[in-house]
Amino acid sequence: MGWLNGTTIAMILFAIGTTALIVRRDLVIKLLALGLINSSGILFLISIRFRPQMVAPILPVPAWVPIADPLPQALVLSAIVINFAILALSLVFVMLLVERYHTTDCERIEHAVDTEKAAQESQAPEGDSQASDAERPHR
Amino acid sequence: MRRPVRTTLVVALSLLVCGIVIFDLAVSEAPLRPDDSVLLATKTGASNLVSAIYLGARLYDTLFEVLVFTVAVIGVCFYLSERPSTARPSAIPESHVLQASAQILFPLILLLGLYLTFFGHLSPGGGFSGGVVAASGLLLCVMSIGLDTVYRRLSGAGIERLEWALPMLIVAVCVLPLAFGRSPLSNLLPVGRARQVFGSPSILLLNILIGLKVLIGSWMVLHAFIRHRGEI
Amino acid sequence: MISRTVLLGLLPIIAGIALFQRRRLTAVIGMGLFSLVLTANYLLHSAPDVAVTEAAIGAALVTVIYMLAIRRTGRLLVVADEVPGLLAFEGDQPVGVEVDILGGFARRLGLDLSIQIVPHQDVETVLLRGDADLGAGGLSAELDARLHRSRDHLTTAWVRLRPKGGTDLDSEEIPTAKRCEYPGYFSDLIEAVQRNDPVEATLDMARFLAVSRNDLSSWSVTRLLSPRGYAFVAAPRRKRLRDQLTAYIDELERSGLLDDMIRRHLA
Repeated sequence: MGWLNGTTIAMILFAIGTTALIVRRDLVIKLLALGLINSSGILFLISIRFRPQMVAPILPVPAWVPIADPLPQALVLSAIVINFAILALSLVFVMLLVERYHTTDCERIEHAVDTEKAAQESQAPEGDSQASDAERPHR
Repeated sequence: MRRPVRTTLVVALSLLVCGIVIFDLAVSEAPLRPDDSVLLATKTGASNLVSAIYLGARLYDTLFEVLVFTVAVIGVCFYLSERPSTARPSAIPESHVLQASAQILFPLILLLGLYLTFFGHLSPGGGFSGGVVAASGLLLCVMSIGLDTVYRRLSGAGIERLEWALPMLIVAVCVLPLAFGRSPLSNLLPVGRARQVFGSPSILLLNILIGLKVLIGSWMVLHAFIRHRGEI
Repeated sequence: MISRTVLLGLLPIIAGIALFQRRRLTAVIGMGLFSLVLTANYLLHSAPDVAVTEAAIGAALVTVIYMLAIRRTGRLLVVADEVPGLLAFEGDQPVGVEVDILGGFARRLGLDLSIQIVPHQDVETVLLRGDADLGAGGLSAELDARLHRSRDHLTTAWVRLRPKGGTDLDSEEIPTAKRCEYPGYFSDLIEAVQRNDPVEATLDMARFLAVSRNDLSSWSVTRLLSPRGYAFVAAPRRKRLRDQLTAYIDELERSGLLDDMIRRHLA
């Protein structure tokens, strides 16, 4: 099973993540799929320079033992922490959307945004004699 | 997205993945070049080669990654603070099991975080993982004794000033070698013997600063989330 | 060697199962498990730094943040149209008999009360869609059978408002009406009456009392038979909520607080 190494699995994970991102309609699942795509990229970078006899890149290591390449690991290390911060920010936006439209379904949110925009555009030329729908009390 | 478009995209992506897999099987393995890892270790004094790279040779990238982290934390706190919180953060009476075990576990988790940060240049770890582990220890505290108590003990809003000061300190550590006649982003303090804790003091200093930064940043994110949504 | 292959092969399986779950909570926990297996993979690929970081972030912090984001906040979502006396907004604060009942009920359940004003006709659709828990605002008509109706907290009658003129009104049969009807929001109706627009409406007593503060000389008012009662309706999956609400209103009536509320707001 020579093809079952990290690079191919990372590509398969990328495909699963992208499929879930497109097919699932729930915003939270879409964010999870984005996280999966992140992880697949990291796994790819790490496993592309890995050979089975390598050890961890921590000295002291005997001279005849090959060391795993530290460069891709250094690249992805801070990327993992920053993925977490960006994920927190995008979850904030998802929460704000959910609190406004009471659903995490992306198609329903798009529909609601379209109807709001159509309502605003149809009211703007008539002048503002009445409060628009967006200003109805909602608490 | 409409169903036929969605299906076409899924099928195309799957074919692409299969094509890449087959291509990967067909390509022969490239030979590896010898590493000059020992040279890297003696230059920066760190035994952990990964730390030697991202805090020694590629410090510029780490600087901007810290900046991205700061901006993301600022964004989270900004968007979650301007709205009145809709959930009442009620004090959920936690079980005694959680409180008792948190009393034992929290010092251990904090110790693990400190170890990862301080010994990050000698063994796996570093500022990023040390800060995150300590933040998860703080989360355990919040779950057992409540958010307001932890917020008060951490001196409330005073911790935010530290959060603003830390990126400036990190930039200062990167720029300060100019004052000693060396180029910026090089070692601030002289390199000692390898495999000692103070063998590479500039990397140690950077690890501590980054660990504090990640800890405070993650704490602010968690605090904003919990205050906005109520306790877990 | 074998363990590395096995763990690698485990990754797409866990990811595929986790991302195509129906419930969000299961998906989040599945991705936490995926993070743990990924940590083991990083270890077996000789990347211990990355493994420690991924373990701390993926398994602990990311899962916690998702849990905080997807939990339902403790809120009781009520959709209603404004009715002065029953449920109306004075500035920022909701005031009325139904507000008092719902506020006490929310406090009893330990939730926050959140009232959203929608047009009268939309209360039913919003509840059927599941976007709210309770419907209020002087609901006295027979609504969709899938909605659960609580007990009546106040009796009322229906009144039909029509502009004067046109056909002879005294000899008309009492029209049967299925529901209270007026166009749009209730405040729109009051403005239309003030402007003397020829609108037709079927109103219950609370709304009629509010409308009758204006000059109604150009309308004819016909009282419809069949007694009605104001009640709350619960969304299709909230049957237990309806039972709890009915029990709460029973308590209020027994202790006399319900009469106090009615007297305070509708006297």
